[in-house]
Amino acid sequence: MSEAEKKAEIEAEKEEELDISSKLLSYYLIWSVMISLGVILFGTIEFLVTGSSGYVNLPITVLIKTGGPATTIFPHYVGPIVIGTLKLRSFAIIELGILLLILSPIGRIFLQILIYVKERDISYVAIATVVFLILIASLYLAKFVQ
Amino acid sequence: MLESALLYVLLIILASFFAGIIGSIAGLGGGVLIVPFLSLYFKVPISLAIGASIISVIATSSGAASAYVRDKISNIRVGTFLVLFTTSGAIAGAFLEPVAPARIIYLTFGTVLLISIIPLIMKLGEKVPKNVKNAPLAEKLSLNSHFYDSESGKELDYNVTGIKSGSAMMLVAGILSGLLGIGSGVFKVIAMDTFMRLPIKVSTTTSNFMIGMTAAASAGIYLFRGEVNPFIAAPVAIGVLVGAMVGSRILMKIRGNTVRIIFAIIIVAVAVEMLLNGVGIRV
Repeated sequence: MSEAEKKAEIEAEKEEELDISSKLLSYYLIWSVMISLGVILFGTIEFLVTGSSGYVNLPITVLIKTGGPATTIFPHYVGPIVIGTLKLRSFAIIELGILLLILSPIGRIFLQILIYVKERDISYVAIATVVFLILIASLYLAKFVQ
Repeated sequence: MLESALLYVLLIILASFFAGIIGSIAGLGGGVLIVPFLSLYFKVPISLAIGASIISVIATSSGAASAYVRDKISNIRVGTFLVLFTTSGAIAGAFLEPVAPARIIYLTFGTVLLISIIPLIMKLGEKVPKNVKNAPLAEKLSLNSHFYDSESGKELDYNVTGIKSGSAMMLVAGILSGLLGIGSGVFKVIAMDTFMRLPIKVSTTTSNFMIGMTAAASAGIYLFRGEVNPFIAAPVAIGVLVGAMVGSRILMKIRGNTVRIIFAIIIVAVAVEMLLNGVGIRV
């Protein structure tokens, strides 16, 4: 086998690897967003059908303008979101979907780390790992922001 | 009460759907359109509008990038490398947000929009930047690649340069993302297009791949702060996702130039609106 043929074979192998990892990543992207949005949609429909948020029920105009640290209106920490979901409260279910959506890019970068490990691409294993750690740190730091 | 709730939800879904289409084509999260829409038409407080928008950025990114990654238009290596800078910037930006007053946020938004027009117009007619040599770092990280261009029906090769200036711009983009609750795709596209000389379709689609991760870095902060109101964020996320999936299919078919012109007009209108709010005139 000549030098050129060898090179072409390596290139073709690289392309094939890229094909597989692109497909994997593409599937992950669409399914992660579909699952989180499905949960959000479920909560929204429940709210519209039952008319109950599962928390303090307020007129629409007030609901629109109320955010901030008002846990009586909707939960915004992991614990209360999980408890509210178990009690099938519509606003807790929506917030659970939102939490899943926020976590999905962390899963995406983790999948990338695995792909690069399999491809034995050390520099990108390092880059993806640092990004992964930054995203984890952002969730941890979130507790300290007011 | 329920009828008006349904109408409210449907209106926000519809508006977010269009924001999702435009966002996925132009490499933006669509937040740049959703935040002014929510605050101007629905009188949603700006902090809640931003909270809803940053969630929608993740939905747009995953919805559009799924198609772009599968068709290998997004450059995943470039995206992953640059996300290092945008995510660290985003954390810093989210910490700064509570001390930034609403008026300045409006003014910043308006200026961000105006700046984003320049590269849009300058790129008219260009397909693949010529005479670009790979930077040494690009060679090392094998950032250069190729993509299938549907207009000419050919695989086009491209090189990557300006890694340092591009990375610096990404840090700024990240800070803005955390501060304004936008994917700051405009700045990402400028960085890749102007500094790193990537082809325009590669720049916008790679930006789409990146904005979700940048937004995720600050979204947790908004969630725990209680600024992601389910009643607003849910319809926005649903509308934007469907829009992004439609938009990513449109991008493959239409000519880049047409989109640029329409988009430049929309951006001018919204920018003027926001700047007026910034100086205290409510439209």
